[in-house]
Amino acid sequence: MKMRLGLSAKLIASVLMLSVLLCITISYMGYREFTTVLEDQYNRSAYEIAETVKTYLNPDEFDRYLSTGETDEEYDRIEALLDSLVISTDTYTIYVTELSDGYTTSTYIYDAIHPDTGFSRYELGYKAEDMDPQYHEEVARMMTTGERSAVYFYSYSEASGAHTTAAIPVEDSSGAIVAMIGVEKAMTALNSARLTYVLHVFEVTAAAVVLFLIIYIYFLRRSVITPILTIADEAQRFAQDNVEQLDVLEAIRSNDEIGSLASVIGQMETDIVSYVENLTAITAEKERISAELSVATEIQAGMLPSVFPPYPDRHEFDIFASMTPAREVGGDFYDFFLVDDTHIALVMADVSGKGVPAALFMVIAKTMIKNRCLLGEDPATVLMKVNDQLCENNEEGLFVTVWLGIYDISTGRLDYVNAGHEYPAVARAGGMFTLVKEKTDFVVAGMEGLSYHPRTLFLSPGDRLFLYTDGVPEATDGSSTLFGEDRMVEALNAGRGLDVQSMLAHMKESVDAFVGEAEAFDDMTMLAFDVRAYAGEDDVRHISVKAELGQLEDVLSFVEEVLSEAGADGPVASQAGVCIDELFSNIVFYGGASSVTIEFCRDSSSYIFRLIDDGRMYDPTAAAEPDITLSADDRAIGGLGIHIVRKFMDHMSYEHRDGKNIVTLVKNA
Amino acid sequence: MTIDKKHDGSSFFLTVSGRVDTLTAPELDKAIKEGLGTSSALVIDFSDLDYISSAGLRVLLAAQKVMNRQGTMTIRNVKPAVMDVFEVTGFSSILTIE
Repeated sequence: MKMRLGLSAKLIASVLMLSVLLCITISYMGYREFTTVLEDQYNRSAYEIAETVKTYLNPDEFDRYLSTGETDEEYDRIEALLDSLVISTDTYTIYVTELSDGYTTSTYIYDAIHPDTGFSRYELGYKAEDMDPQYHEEVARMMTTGERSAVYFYSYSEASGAHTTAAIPVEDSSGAIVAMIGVEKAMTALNSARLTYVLHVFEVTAAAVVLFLIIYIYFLRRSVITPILTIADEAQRFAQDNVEQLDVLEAIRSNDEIGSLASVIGQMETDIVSYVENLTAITAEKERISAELSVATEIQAGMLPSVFPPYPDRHEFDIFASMTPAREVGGDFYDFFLVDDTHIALVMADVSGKGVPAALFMVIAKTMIKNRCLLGEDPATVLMKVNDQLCENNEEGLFVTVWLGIYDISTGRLDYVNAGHEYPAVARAGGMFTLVKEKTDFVVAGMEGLSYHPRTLFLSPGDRLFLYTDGVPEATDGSSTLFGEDRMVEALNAGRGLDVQSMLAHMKESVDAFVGEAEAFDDMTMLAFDVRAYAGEDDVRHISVKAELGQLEDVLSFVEEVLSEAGADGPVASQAGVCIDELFSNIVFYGGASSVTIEFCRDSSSYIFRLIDDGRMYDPTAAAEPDITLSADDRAIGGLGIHIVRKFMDHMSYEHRDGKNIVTLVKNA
Repeated sequence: MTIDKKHDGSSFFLTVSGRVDTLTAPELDKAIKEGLGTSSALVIDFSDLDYISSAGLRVLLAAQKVMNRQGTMTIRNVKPAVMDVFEVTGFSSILTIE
């Protein structure tokens, strides 16, 4: 409704303004023209009267009349003629004057005045100096040349109203100009006539404008306002119903802009309806896929161990893991399972790509790794075989980074392989988390025939292992800054006093706080593993002696004894003896220790010794390698002991904890 | 560890049995230094030696350096366990082992 008022009112107002302007202009022009014509008519008539008067006069007598001041019969007759002429021609006044003193003084000869004016005539010889100064020059020209004035004499006074004056010269018989005839004619009809004229013009124009407006408004309504309102109503209706109704729009058949607007709106309705239909179909399809994906997510989540604590009756370790997929289904996975009574496998992996393909690949990889592990194979063999199997039918070129470890619960030995995965973080009991940065192997399913380097780490009660996927350090905030390894280690250390579950929760909170509102880009998967005790701690044999060389005998006897009890054969026993000898004497000579404890235990595949002393911090694994290719004369003495240990043992690691040096030696059976 | 010493002309024979470890290596060192004198050949029999530690290797290296100047040094009847030590330390290439 607002639009109707607006558009109509504006258009009508503009037409009205135009009409009023036109009306005024026409009236003004008519008024001007009418006045000019009427004045001209009156003036001409005044001149005609003046010419008539001229024929009545006898100018030769004027001098006599003026000089004597006496009239005669002829004068009276002429005066009577003039009086009747004034009345018959409805003239204001007719006078004949002689002009003197440079034509400024008029001396009246005749003066006839219309009785209606109420004035009385000037008698013969009356002198008047009342000539309008602006006419002097013109009167002078007329009196000297005898020509009619080119100026149109016109005057208007409150007393006598509008009147026009005709003035012509009068010549005597000798042709000399002796007097002037003046005829003043009142333009009595002028005012009323031109008012009537203007009124007529105004009336006709106004009538024309009204007529035009009626037609104009009718046309405006019919061709503009009504179609526009129809289109607007139709658009509104369509917005509510979303059903096309083209007949309403097709009724607007005009060939102008309105018509094309109507057809464009109609086309739009058709397009929107078909678009909505498509969208509905697509949305339904999307919902179906989404429902299936959510089932897939549940299946995937169900594949990962999710009951915590998973082994309530195992007090030797604690474990917690979580996966937060960035999409419905993710390519990350973790896994852990008991291989046998004393071994638990830990898996952390990340399949390249995301979504369903990655998830399917993950399922295969996870299953294969678990099956291989359960066969009792070591991590390097497991990955080697899984790699070959995955490479067989890998058309999509997917690959997976895997960290696979098998932890011996009874000895703390952790055998692991890192196939292109993130560095694990380890915190020794009471210490800070650090990343174990070792060269990683190539990813799994990347290339056939690869082998993987077995690595070993020894964990002791109180130690904690943290595994994760790149979603953690590569979480990104709104300004594309990475969370990074430093922030991750910082968050780990902040949460290391908590239990494993709370530590992972704390880590997730830290990442979430860092990321803020930014959308998660990658899956985020974490696993924390806590060592609490060795299994069958009673099986650990140990001997504690003073840190004196004299105790070596007892130490070596202990070594011989435990190895022979464990069924180790000759070479193993003698090599272990040499190594313990080397390390023990090192401690005695250089360490400043007061006592040394030697522990021994064995697992299914190896013999493990730990040498624990309270001397100065000394890391034998950091000792430089001697050059064993030099000739006897060039050889330096020293460094050989550690070298022998490195060569004879399958693994040597060092840690400093609670003020004690702990060296772990492993000899494979 | 037990050491049997025997002089035969300019040759000095040693038979070492048991084990040469950090504790016993000084004894072997002393036996060689005292018995060697100006002998031009040093022959050590390891047929009953169970193992040798780096301390023992140092003794052998010192002896080898001496014998490089005044004659020859030969080691005989090395058991596998001891041979392992010689090999991983590169001593198998600087000692004369029969």
